[in-house]
Amino acid sequence: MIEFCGLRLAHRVINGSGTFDAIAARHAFGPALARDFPFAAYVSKTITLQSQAGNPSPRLWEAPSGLINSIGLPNKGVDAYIEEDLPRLAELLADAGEGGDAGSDSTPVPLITNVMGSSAEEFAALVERCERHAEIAAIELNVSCPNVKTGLDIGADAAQLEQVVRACRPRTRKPLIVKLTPNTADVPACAQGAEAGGADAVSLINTLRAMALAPQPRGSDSGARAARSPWLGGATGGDPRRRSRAGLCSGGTRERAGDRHGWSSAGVARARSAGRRRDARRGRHRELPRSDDRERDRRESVAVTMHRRSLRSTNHLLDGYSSATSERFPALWRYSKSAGKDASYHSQGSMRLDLKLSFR
Amino acid sequence: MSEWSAAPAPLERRLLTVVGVERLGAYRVLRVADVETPEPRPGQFAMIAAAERWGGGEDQRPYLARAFSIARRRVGESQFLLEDVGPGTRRLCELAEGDGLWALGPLGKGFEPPTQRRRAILVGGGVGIAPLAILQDALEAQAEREVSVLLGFRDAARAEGAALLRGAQVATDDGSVGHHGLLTELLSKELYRDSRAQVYACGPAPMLEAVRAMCATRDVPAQLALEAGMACGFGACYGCAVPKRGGGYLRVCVDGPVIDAAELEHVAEHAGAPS
Repeated sequence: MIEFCGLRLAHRVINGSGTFDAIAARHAFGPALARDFPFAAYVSKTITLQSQAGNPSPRLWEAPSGLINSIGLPNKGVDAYIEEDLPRLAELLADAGEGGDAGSDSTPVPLITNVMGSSAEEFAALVERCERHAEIAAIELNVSCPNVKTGLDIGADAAQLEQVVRACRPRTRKPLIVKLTPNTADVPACAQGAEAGGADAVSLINTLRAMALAPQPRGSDSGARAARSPWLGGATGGDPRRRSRAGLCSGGTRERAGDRHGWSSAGVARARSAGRRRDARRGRHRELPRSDDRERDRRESVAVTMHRRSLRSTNHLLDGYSSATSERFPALWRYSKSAGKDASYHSQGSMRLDLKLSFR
Repeated sequence: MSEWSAAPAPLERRLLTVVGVERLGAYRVLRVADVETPEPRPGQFAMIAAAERWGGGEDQRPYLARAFSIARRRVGESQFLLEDVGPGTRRLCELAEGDGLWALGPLGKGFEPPTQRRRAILVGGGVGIAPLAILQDALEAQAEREVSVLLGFRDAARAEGAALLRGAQVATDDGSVGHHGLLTELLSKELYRDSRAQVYACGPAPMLEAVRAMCATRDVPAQLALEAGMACGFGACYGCAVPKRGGGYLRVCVDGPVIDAAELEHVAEHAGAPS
C-alpha cells in the first residue's frame, strides 16, 4: 500500500480522467473487470453542472505527433452522475477492492471524481455536491476550461487558478487535486498557484491543444472534407467546449483557425525533431538547448503525448516511470524536487500519460 | 436459435498468431488462431494491431489499434477482412503466416436475429461486407431461414470479395460485374418482391444512408453496422460518437456498432476512421 494525499492505493497506476469508463468497461468485460481491476484508484470522466452532449464528430485524429481529440466533455451532469452513476461505481469499486479476495478485510478502490466549471462559483458548487457523498474519495478539478467572462483558460493563469482553488477549498474536506493545463506559458507557476489555493496535489497534464487539417480530397472519397479545413468537428483538440473554439478563432473563419494552427503545429514539429535527435543518440536523453523555461515547458508538454506511445502496457508504464520523470521531463522533476514534493504517482489511460505530484 | 449470446470480452488484449492470409481480389482475409476467445455475436468487432512495426517508422503511424468486424469464425480461428486504405490497414495487409496480432474483443453490440419470421436481406458495400459473412453463417444455421445477399463494389477487383458470402447478387459502380448501378436498386427489387423483411446493412456511409431512407419509407426494420475511428473500443473515450435521432450522440463502440436504423435521423459520415 502506498499513500497519496490521504488515499491508500494498492499500487501507483490509475487512469487519466476521460480515458477509462468503469461502467462501460464493466459491460464489455464482465465480472473480470472487478476481479482484476487495473487501477489503484478510478478517476471519473469530467462532470459538469449541466449535461453536455459533446462536440460534433469526427472527434479523433491519429496524427504523427500523437492522438488529437476533440471530445467536448460529454457527460450527464452532476445530478444524474450522483443519482445514476455513483451507486453503480460504488458497487463496482467495492468489488474491485475485494479483488476476488472476498471476505478479507478489503477497502473499495478509491473514486476520484473529476469536475469542471466555468467560474469559481461553478467549481465550488460542484465540489460541494461531491463533498456530501462518502463514495467519492477525492475531487479532481479540470481547469482546462475557459472562464466565461475572460475566455481564457482558468488553469492557464496562476492567479486565477489560485482563486478558483481557494473558492473550492472550504467546501470540502476531501483531497483536492488540480489537473493542470499544458496550454500555458508557465506550468510550474500554475502548480504553485494551485498549492497556494489549498490543493492537495496536481495532475499533469490535460490535453494539448492541436489541430489537424483535412488532406486534399481523394477522388470520390465521401469521407473527405474540404481540403485544409479542420478535420475535427470541434476544430481543435484540447478544447473542452465548443465555445472555447469560438474564443480561439474569435470572429474568424475556419481558414483563420487554420492560420492559428501555425504555431501549435510548429511546436509539435520542434518536439518531434528533438525526439529524433534523442533517438539518434541511441535512447540517451539529450539536454535541450538552453532556452527560457517557457519554451522548455512547452516542449516537455508535447513530449508527454509523444511518450505515451511508447507505453504499451502497464508493465511498460512502470518501467517508463523513472525515465518519464527524471529524464524526459527534467523541469517538472526539478520542480517537484526543489519544492520538496514527491513525484509519487502517475497514470495512463488509453490515450494519455498523467503525472500526479502530491503536495503532502 | 432465438437469441445470439455475447459473452464478455477477456479483460486484456491477447497476442494471436496469423495462420494464413488469403487474397480476395482487392481484399485480404486475415486468419488468426484464436482458441480462447468467447464466441462473438455476429456484428461484434475486435481492436487489432500488428505485434511488430506498429508505431515507429518515419511518422510513427499507425499506433492506435484498429476496430475490425469479426468477419468469420471457424473452429479455433477468427477471420478479418482487410483493404489497404491507410497506414493501419496497410500494415495489417503486410502480415504473413506466423506473425503476431494483438486483439481485444469481441466488443460492441452485434446484430439481433430477425423477428416475426421476417426474411433476412443482407446488404453490404465494399469492405463492409465483413460482418455479413458471420451473420450469414448464423442465419443459415437456423436451417429454415431464407437469406438474400446483395453486395455492391466499386470495380471488378473488389467484387471478388463477394466470394466471402454465399449466393450473392452483385452490383458494381463501373458495371464490370453484375448489376451496373446502385446496390439500393437491387434492394428495391427485393423489397418489392416481398417487403416482409429484416434488412442488415454494412458499408460506406452514403450507402447506409440510402438503405436507411429506403427502409424507413417502406417501413422495413433495418439494422446498420456503422464504422468509426476509435481510440479504445469499449466506451471510454467517446471518440466514435455519431449523432442520434432527437439530439445527442451514440457511441459506435458500445451503443453499436450495430444500431437500429430507427435510432438515427440519418447516417452521418464515418466519424473519422483512422484508416
